[in-house]
Amino acid sequence: MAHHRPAPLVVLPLFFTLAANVSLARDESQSSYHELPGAPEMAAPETGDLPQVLTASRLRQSKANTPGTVTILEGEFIRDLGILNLWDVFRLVPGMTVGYVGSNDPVVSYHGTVAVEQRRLQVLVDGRSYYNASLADMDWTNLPVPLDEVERIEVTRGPNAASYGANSFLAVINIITRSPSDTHGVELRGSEGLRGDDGFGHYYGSIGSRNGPLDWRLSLNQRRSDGFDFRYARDDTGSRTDEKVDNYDGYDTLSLNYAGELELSAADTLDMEMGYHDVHEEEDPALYSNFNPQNKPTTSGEDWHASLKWHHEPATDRFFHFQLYYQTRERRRTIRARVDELVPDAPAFEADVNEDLEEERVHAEFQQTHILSPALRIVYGASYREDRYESDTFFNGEGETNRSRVFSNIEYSLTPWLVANVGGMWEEDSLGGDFFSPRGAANIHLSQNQTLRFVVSKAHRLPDPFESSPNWQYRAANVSPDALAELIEGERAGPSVTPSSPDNPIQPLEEETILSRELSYLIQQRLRGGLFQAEVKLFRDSLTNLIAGQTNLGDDPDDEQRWDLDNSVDLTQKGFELEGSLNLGDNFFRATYAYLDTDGTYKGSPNQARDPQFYLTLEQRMNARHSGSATWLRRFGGNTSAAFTYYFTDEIRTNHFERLDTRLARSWHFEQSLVELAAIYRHYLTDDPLYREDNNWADRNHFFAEARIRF
Amino acid sequence: MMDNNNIQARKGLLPTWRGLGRHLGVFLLLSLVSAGSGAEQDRLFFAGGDDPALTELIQSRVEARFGNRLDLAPYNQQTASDALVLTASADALAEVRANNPDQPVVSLFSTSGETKRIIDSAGRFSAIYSDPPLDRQLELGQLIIPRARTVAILSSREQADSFDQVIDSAERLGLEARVFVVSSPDTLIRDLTRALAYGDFVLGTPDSRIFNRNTVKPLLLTSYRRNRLVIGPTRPFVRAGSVASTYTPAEDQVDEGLQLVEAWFETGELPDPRYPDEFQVIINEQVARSMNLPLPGEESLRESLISREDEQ
Repeated sequence: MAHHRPAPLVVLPLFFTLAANVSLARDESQSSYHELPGAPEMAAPETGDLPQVLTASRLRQSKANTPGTVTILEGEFIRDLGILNLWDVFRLVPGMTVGYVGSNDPVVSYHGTVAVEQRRLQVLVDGRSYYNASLADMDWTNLPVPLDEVERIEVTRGPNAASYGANSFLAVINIITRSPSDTHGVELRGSEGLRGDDGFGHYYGSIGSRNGPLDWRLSLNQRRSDGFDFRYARDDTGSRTDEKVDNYDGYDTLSLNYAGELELSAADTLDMEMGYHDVHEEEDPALYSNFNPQNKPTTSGEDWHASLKWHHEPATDRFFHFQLYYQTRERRRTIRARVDELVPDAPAFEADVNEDLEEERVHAEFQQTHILSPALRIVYGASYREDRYESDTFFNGEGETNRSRVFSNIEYSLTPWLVANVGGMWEEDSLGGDFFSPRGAANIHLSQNQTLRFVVSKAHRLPDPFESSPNWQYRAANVSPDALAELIEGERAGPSVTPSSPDNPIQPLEEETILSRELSYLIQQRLRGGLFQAEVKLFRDSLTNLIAGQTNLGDDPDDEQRWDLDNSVDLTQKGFELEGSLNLGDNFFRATYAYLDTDGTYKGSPNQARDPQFYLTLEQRMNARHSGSATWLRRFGGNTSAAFTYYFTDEIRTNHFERLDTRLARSWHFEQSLVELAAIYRHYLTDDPLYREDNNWADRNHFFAEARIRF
Repeated sequence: MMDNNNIQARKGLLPTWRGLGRHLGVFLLLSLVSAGSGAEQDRLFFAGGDDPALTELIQSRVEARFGNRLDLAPYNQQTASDALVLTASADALAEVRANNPDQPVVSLFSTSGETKRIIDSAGRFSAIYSDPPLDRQLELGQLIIPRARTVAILSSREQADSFDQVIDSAERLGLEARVFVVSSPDTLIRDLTRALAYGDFVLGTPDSRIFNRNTVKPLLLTSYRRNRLVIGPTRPFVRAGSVASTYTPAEDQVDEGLQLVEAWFETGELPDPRYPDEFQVIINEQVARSMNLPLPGEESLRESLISREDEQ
């Protein structure tokens, strides 16, 4: 695998700036900022004319016309509630659950299913997919998106492969960050845990401006946490005891991001983004008990990304974009293992083993929109993506996958009260063959304020390289004593999951499929002095061929904990979800609720030794029958605000979750600056651990202080 | 983008050949009308006929209102110093006033701000301002966003102190209004961002240093992306993407101007300058829908505004 190349990336901003200057010199006459002032439209409103700014390409689709339910959370709303971690945002989305696996690794899901390596969501940041390629899951801790830069988060609640491709399986999370043309000036913000979670800190600083035709922003974000407070010590057999010990599960990350928006001409814009992310995470040694770790393992790493997106809008009724991005991810984790008795009477030895992993992704996408008439809009496009990965431990080397797609969607208003959407994506994957994912939706406008939606969609999830072709075994390095080094230094040894393992446990896997049916109702009603909005979604999803099982090492074919992944589970998930808000004077209320009922069928697999219920349970670890939230935002004039939010999940695994967040904020608007101070109080209503028995807080009450200045 | 000092040089005093031709056409048109008039006529002079359509409109409204009783003649340097002049642009108003500060004038198609900058005393002067009154715009904002409590007003440094009355009106409506000064074009977004952090909506003003062709894109896009509505300032802004505005069609502005003219000929006095009474509401439904904001119809908003104004 090619290693990431920091030097060219560092040079990129310089290039962008040069490009901007060249363009400025050439293009000055076209830049709108250099035109003569246009006062006539003020003097004679009848005769003046202005360019249409909010054209179809810039307007967001109204909820009444989306082909499926979408929850939209504004960045400002998220910050007003006192949410400090991006993953906590999803507790506000009906049907979504949040857990923590491994060593304080957040997991987010919609309609549950597995927790470890949750791979059934698509997560996009400004069009870039953050879904990891090889060991497919989402690394929320290291998503380099400062909360301060979130403009809004759109969650498509349901499969949306017709728009986003395979792996847009249960839902699609689309994070849109602020345009650098909206963030001129300086912004500084800091949040610090004072009690309860006192190792928490979030610091953000950004500077931006416009130079000629280039809007730009440079930002720095540090996030740190010392993780949960305690876990339970293990006894000799590896079982938990009652003894509480400190967790070793903190993290400290640093992101440096650049965003630029270059106005090439009246019809062309180039968005440029690049970023560097530095990772330092502590790993709970108990998770590596098999290695008898002699060190406190940590994960370090570096991620890079660079993206170019060209928008071309020659007319308001036809426009396209072309996006090219490249990103790399590198993780290094070394465990000093101690083996007392490899075989009977063998001497003890120590060795370094690693879980290092490198990934890189290149993606190019083209998308064209034609608005043929006010009633007919066609979108089509194509994309190509290539993923490369390298890990000595997990793959015994490197690998590569690629995926080509073509997609289209037609939105047609058959009558003023009926909007039909028909779309689909065809894709070919180097690992899994080719697929077609269609979607059809009918939006019936019962009245100006009420819409009924019928949606049927199908999507696939392909097994990732680790699921389908692992070659997992640890290589010993720095072996001591020296006497043994000659034997095993540099050798892969110990339990394995490889094609040559005894009774090769790796099954050929097929893709998973979801067929989702949705009936939803939306009402948006003006009230005297307010605005009421509510959406109800009824759903019935059939998930077939789910890849279920354990991803553990082992050589012994009789070991029931050994690797046994197979397409062995079908699930039927049905239920309903509510999302409502009421804006009344100085008060804003919002509530969500989700009910989820799951029926599972185990289809059996010759290599799965455990009780069928085990596999069914595994595929429902993130499922919660009841979950929801309630928010009350209250303003006192233009300067003071209070927010109260209650979250509950009943229950994930066997744990009940209830939390109350309060944020009080006061802002001061000076002539050239804005200052805001806030206090956040977070109260856990139960002592239940968070998802995992080892995720515990010592204190139910957490206090944070926050300060922000903008000038 | 915020410097309009050179407007006169650009538009009025240095006519192009095409402009000259247009002036000539208007002159001929008016001469023709005056040639056919009788002896008992009052005479109204007209300045600022750059736009033939506008001149034609004024001509036809004069005829409709006064028939043969009033003769419309082009204003020139020889126009008697006590004759009433109807101006149809800020430039024309400035020109007439510059030539004779005591000339009686009824001004049309000039905003309140522009007009006040040109005319510093009210004597022998009246106007129908071309911009919508900000009180009405405020009320429209409140009707559209019932939950609104705060209003952000963007202003150039020069006009920052001219919003006291609007701030008072806002208070009467239960709104807190605040002026955010945009000190230079370079700081527009920075200052707008602060304003958006404060206001539930942005009240567009006729300050052409802030709201103009060059600022329309950053103003509307940034506000939209921050989920903030912009009210006004004019009808073209609504077409460009602000959510709504009140406006008075040119025909109504002319008719109300002619009421002032009539008062002059009947009483020899000119009433105080004012905003037009007649108005319409325009909304950008696409923008409102996209922001998931159901809106009443334009006519229903207009009626609500009228009944609110009647109550006061």
